[in-house]
Amino acid sequence: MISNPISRPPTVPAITVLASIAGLFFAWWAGALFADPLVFPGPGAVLAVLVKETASGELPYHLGITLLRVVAAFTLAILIGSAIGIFLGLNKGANRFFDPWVVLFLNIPALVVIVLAYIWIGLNEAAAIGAVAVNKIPNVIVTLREGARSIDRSLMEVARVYHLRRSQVLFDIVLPHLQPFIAAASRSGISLIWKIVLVVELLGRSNGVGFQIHLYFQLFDVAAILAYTLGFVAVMLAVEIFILQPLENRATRWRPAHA
Amino acid sequence: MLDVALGEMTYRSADGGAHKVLESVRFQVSDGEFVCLTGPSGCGKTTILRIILGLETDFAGSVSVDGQDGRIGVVFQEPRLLPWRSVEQNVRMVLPDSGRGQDLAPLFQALGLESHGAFFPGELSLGLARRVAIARAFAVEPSLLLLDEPFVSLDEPTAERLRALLLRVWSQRPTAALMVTHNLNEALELADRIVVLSERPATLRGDFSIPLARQDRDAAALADLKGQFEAAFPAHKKTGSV
Repeated sequence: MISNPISRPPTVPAITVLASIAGLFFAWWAGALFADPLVFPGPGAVLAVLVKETASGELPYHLGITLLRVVAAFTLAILIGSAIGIFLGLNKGANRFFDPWVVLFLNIPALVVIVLAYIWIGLNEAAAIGAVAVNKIPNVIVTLREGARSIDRSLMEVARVYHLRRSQVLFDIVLPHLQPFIAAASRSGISLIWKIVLVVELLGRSNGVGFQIHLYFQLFDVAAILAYTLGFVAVMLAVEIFILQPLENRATRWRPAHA
Repeated sequence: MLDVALGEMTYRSADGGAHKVLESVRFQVSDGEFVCLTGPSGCGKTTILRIILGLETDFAGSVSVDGQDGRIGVVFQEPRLLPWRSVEQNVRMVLPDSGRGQDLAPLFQALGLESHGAFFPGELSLGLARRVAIARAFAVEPSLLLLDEPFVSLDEPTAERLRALLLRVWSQRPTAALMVTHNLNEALELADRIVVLSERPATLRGDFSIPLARQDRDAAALADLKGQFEAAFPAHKKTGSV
């Protein structure tokens, strides 16, 4: 028996993270010394554009639009993918029937889905967000299906013997068990989704980071392209550190530190 | 009270072979009676428990549990606690809606769990986790208590302490209790009556009643009871297991 509260292994010290990022910027700066500044601008030039675009309100506006699309597509993909994945994981017959569908959708190129969505639904927000979600849903299904398959049957028997309600089975057994699978699907999902959102914006929207990158591609402004990329990556890093990781630590606090 | 009348039960294994698990098993457990179900390893004791629990449905015969709502409290071989819920949440979640706010303190106190309510199962020793499983079984105020070898793989002093705790809690809340065990000493110490099964496929070999009050079952009395039991069910002496 352990009498002290669960202690977690210390997280990577902030100084290490800072040193690591500084090292990356140094490598970038050193590499840029030997390149044409128009083709591969150094961190200074990119940061200057970043500051200028932020001050003018351009970057926050486009970043905000893209983020909204990411959040909408992510929410849709996780909700729909989880529901289908859990259903297939718990129903062998349904899984056998639908498995080829899942494999099919898993292998449809993102670009095809996007183009078809724009043709069938039109050049609008619904088509853009829907196309991104459809690209991600099969991955969520596969991850959550594995999770649902591995549910501990002995705990489900406890639920039966003690006549737990369906809602209790869902919230007290199924979802806590699936938590690491949902976390994994979210992690890989958020990074995949924001990349696809940029393609969707490039092909059929008139705002967002993807639209801006398309614009600066035509202007051959590499510094601006990198500035927008950097801005978005920074936001996603903040989401990871300040939202995803704390959520996960909370959800797994029952796990003994030594396990 | 529990009434079990089982006929044949066949289990089909993965290779397609049919294995007869049960032949004919009939016994009852009255309210307030503690019965141990014993027999050779693999004879189908746990299967009978699973039938009573409704976890096996493909069998011939009938099982009936009388009493308030026919509620069953169960302690499995493994504690089977939800690792992501605290000790108290694990116990509270099985309570019927009417008893959600019930004060669990007396039960936790009786089992020596009063300071462990906020712990997660991963922080408990096996002995403590078993106590939580026992608390969960009693918390539903069952009309039948089922125990499937709840004290295996514990060191003997811990098992002994847990048996004493179980008896204390049970005598405060007497219900019909049926415990599967292959530990004869344990059965002789706890039971009012021992139901003995044969080798697989299980049939009923007989009953062994122990009229002696539990507090009078000291080492000498237990040795004496063991002799009587082995005289009544001689085959067990040869195999050395019950």
